[in-house]
Amino acid sequence: MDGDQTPEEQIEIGDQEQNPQLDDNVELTIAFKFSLDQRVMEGCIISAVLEPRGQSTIVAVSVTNKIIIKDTEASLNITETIRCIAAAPFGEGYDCIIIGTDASVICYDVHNNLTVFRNDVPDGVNCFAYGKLGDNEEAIYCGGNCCIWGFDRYGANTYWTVTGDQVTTMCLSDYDGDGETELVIGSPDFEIRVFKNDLMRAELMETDEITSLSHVAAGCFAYSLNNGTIGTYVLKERQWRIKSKSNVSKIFNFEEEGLMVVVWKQGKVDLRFAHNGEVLSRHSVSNIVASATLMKRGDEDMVTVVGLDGKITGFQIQKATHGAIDKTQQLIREFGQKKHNLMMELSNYEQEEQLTEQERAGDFRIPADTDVAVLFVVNCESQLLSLRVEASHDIPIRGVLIFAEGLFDGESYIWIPPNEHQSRSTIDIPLVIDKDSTNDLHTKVFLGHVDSNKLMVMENTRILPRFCRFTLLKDEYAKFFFMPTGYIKFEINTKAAKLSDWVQESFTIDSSLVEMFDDAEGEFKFMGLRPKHDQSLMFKISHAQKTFEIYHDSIETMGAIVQSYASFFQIQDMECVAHFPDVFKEATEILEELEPMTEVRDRLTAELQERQTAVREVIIRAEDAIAIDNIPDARKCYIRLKANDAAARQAANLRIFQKYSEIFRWNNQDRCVKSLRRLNKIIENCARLRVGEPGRQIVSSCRSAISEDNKQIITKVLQYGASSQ
Amino acid sequence: MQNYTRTDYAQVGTTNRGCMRVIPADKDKDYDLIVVGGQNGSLICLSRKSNDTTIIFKTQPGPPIQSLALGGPASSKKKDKIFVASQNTVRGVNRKGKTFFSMETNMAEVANRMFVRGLDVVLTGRKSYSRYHDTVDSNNYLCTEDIHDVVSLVFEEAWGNREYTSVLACGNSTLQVIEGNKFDYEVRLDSIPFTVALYMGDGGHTKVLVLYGTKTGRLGLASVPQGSGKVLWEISTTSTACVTTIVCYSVTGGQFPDIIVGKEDGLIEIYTIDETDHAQLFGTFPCEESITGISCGNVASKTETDIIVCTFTGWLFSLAKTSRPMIENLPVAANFNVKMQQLRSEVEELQVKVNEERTRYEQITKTQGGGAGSTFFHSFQVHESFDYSAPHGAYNLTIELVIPIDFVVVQSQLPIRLMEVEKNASVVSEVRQDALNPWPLLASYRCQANVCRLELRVQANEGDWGIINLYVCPKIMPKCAQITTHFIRALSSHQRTHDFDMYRPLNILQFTGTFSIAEAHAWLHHLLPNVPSKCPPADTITNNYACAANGGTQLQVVYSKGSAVFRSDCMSTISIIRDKVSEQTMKMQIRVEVACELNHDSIDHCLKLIDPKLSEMLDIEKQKMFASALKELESNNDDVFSFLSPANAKLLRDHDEIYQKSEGINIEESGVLAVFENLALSRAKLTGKSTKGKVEAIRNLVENDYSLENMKALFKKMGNE
Repeated sequence: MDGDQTPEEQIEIGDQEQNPQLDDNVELTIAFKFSLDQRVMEGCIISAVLEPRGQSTIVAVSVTNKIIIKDTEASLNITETIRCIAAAPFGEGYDCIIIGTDASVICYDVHNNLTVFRNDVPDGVNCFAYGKLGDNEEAIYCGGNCCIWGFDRYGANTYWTVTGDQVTTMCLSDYDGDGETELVIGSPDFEIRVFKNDLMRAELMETDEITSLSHVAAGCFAYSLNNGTIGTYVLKERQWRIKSKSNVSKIFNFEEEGLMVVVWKQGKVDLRFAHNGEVLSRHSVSNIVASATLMKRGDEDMVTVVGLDGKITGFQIQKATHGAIDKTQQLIREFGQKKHNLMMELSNYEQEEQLTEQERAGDFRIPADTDVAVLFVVNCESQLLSLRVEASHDIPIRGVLIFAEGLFDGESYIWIPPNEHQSRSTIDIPLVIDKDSTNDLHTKVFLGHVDSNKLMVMENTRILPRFCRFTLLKDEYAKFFFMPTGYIKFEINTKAAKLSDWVQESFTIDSSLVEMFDDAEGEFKFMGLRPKHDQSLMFKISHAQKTFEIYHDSIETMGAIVQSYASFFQIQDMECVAHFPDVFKEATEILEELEPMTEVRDRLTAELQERQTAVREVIIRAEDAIAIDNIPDARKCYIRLKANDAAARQAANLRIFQKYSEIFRWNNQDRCVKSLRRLNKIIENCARLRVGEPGRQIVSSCRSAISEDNKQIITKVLQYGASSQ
Repeated sequence: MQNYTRTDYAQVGTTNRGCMRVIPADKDKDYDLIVVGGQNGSLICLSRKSNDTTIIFKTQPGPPIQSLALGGPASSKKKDKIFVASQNTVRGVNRKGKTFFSMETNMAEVANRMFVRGLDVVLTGRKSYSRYHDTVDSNNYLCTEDIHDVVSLVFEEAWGNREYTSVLACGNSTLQVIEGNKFDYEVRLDSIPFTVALYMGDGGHTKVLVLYGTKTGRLGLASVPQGSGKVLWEISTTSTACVTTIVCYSVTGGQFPDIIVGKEDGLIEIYTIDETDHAQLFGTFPCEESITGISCGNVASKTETDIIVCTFTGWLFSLAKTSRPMIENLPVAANFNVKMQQLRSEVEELQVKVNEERTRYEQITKTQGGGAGSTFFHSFQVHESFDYSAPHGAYNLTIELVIPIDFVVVQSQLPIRLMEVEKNASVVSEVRQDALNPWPLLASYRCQANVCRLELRVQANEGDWGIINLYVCPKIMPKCAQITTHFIRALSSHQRTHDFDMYRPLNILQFTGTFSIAEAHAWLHHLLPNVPSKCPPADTITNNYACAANGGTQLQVVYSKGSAVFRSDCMSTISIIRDKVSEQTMKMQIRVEVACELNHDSIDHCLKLIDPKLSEMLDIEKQKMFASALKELESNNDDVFSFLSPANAKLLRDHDEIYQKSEGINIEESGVLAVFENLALSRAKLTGKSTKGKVEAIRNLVENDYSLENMKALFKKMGNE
């Protein structure tokens, strides 16, 4: 017994249907254990069938950057730093290992001992997903830095698109239930993005970095976050989520649809229902988990968990032996606990009635109709948005606790006065927010007299608007308006009838003022709030010309405003004219810089390879000669190498050159990659200024322009959209 | 104890320690009964028949029941009379629920613990011990320390000329043996005993063996014959939580009765005993609430023994072997469904009632406008403990409520670090200290569903003192919270010991002036843990301490009216005391003379004490690096062992163990660096020298080229600067 059976979380009973689910009694039991006898790199474990008609086996990456295959002596050396591996059925009835390094994707066929293909991927690969995406052929999808590549079995590039941030995890799942799979990717910027082919279908804002994604059932995928949250999305909607303090190592679905396995880094293994997250069975391993996978043993799928120390534990799922007893007991207990809680509450009400006035007075009680107001206020002078908490009857506020996922460093913000006697009945808590995202603020306000250690807690929930950092400019604060240089201009869609609804939901604005947004003509200035205090926003609306212009300098925020606008009014496609001179200039610069950089890189690599080959050839010949005991020939070769002054010098030079070029190449490469990353980001940002098809076209036209070396056109596309060509 | 299952019997409301017993059945064919006394003063007697719990009797609520014992005439073997202590009265209740006996004692304190045997009733309060023979006050003793538990030796024939003898578990880490009215001798332990029990239920074959369980989770056996006693053995249990209950009963079917231990963290452990009286761990069973009582008997089965457990929050359940025939253990499906339905409707009914009350409450708040009337609090009990744990080098803080906890806010005046506790599954979030947030630590713990018990661990710097406030908020309507306060002492890693080695190089700090002994005692109370809040009645008081964090330096405090002398081989300790006591005397405006006599040999001595700890950590780090390098060599070569030196070959073979050992070792977090730094800084401070650059120099040495000699040289150099 490991003391580890603490229920991490429990799903509330009672509200659900009446199904004790005694039939679903399955449990995880340990089936096998062995060790790879190597320390393993985190995340780099797969199971694969490496031979025709072979058994599935474990492939892992050791911390020494080697690929180790279970039960084989040899390990594979890869010169570049490995970041991830995957298996793809590219062989004739067996799997090839796909290796993602910091510079390329390598497809290796173990059976034939050959590299099937090796493609350069600038900036490296972080994760893989194999399968069929939409109407594309099956391919291996590689998530890199701000971009995604797809390669077919021959290594041909079949897919490319850009995204807003690094791709840390991917899966293929039917997100919208239309029968076609979409590509779901997760990034450190808290967003899950869904691509239908190369069109971004949806952005799902989460509350922390996305750490893993997995398809678990038809129309359903599971996700995990860095802050310990796991959950599922079913047909576009989040079905459930649970937060715990541990971190997820891996999630995958288990044979039957509807079951998912969650493996936690700290060693816990849960089997859960995908539809509600309820745990069917738990087990654990004692080591820290590197990763986990499903491995076939015979006909049975085994949950195989690999620790950082290389120790492997396999779990099988079988009918529970004495789980039934535990389950009924647990159910009885839960009811007992519930009953007990209710009894406690009831007895408290009873007790209250028995108390005398005097006893009540001794408790430092607060008036019964005390009310707490929680509202957003703006201090224009300091351009600061605050949450104001105000208690009636001058009751001192002894503390405020705000729970909001992803808004603060942790999940909460707490305010407690420096000492009890400084408690006031009105408190302003500044909100300095780094992201454009809507958020629920769950506030708990502690009320009580300064000498009391018993406090009333008032609960309240406020929704923070997505663009809360903008508030309508008041005339007297015109000094805080800085006319932006960037703007976009688009046609007003007929669906966007009542602009005021969207404005009220999305900006910090007094509800009495929103009606003017429905006027036929107007110029609306917004003041930026900290940390956006030096960036202003302006709407210019003209219903006569059917144009809507938005002026703002941050292209990211602009993209977010466009997307929010479109989704609020359910606009499918929207083209626009964008004007971001700085961004476009940067794009042009990168493109100009990129050309010579790639050229230099190519030339260096080619020269280097040529010379290396020459020297290698002489040496190999010499060694071959020794091997077949042909000493004279060998001597000849060595003499040629030695005697030939030029050759010797060449070898020496080569070595120096190699060193030099290594450094040069590295510098060059690094810069090249950074520029590329930035370019991808710019393309993605510009695509987000459009909605639907026009947005997708931006990406695809830019891609073809780059590959066709038609670079002049790119800024034009970014500015006027793909249809401008 | 994998094959043991838990069966819940009832929820009886909060209970105190030792308030539940199994009463042996009257007739052979009957099952045993359970009796439990709650904090609400009600005594409940239950029976278990065909998987259902029936109440035999239930008395009226009253003052909280502090202790419960079974007794009976000395002549009869059967002990089925229930004795209940609450406040300062003892009542006797028979198995039918009739009170047949009541005795009001003249104790000034609440009777916390009770021991009953024949006509003798032994009661202990916080500091007092009394024995009543046939309701006549026969023996009294006033202890200087807190009494945590008591037992009396029961085998009268073994007395000889010995008077009635009891063993007290005392707060100064001793077992005190009391004969008649007088203190005979004490058995010194390393930590504070919290629970004592007679070995095998009667004192073992010599009838003078007493089991004890300590606050730090150790279990031991002491022999207490006349004249002098000794500890026979002491072992660690599976966790460091306080032992709250010890019972001897044969449950594993061995030759001797087993020892069943219940602990504050909810662990139940069974130990078997061999011929040499030594204990072997048999198994553990976790239950998530702190355990207040364990008792055994044939409650639900004639053939198998049930272990009945009672928790603080009032859950009463049995642990029984799963191998028992299903029909006995588990309600058959039909039966089960009926039961579930019953429970469900009960809960629904209650829910309706509660909803009614809630609306009523809401209406009250609405109608009574204009500030009239007042809200009310759900008063809830916060059961908590706050103790320094030497192995963790941190304070363990546990909070237990009878209702599920929603969240807890921790607010600290002094910089503390929250440490990871594996059992604690709640989500923690800290708020940084800045212009708006003056608190060095402010954090929230949001609990998962149905969590009634929360365990936290906080680490403070030696020398810092101050208050930690907890805002505890349960999941109950209307929402309310309670603040509880804890104090972190400046020398928290010091523990009371019995001995002091005068031959070590000692630094002496002396305060003289016009202060009373009580004032000096108050300083101590703020400085050191486990100092009684009241000053003991004596002219001169001497206390000894050892530090758990720095390899074991010691401290002796001698204080009397107008004088307080501190002797320690550690300059850091002396420096902290000087600062803190001066702070106190300034605040209270007491004039004191301070004399400080430093012994510079103590520096080398301290370095030597901490050396093994640091060396071990550095060694493992080094071994780990070697082992991983060798591992790579192995994977590239066919037969590495053919050319490796024996030392390296061993490292390679031990690769896994080395890694395992190195897990959880972190020099930065271990506090070892702080020991060196504090020592250097305190010396500089005490001798009035600059403290600049010292920390960096020490860190640099530890990282790059540590050896005891090098460290000594560095300190020597710094001292001469």
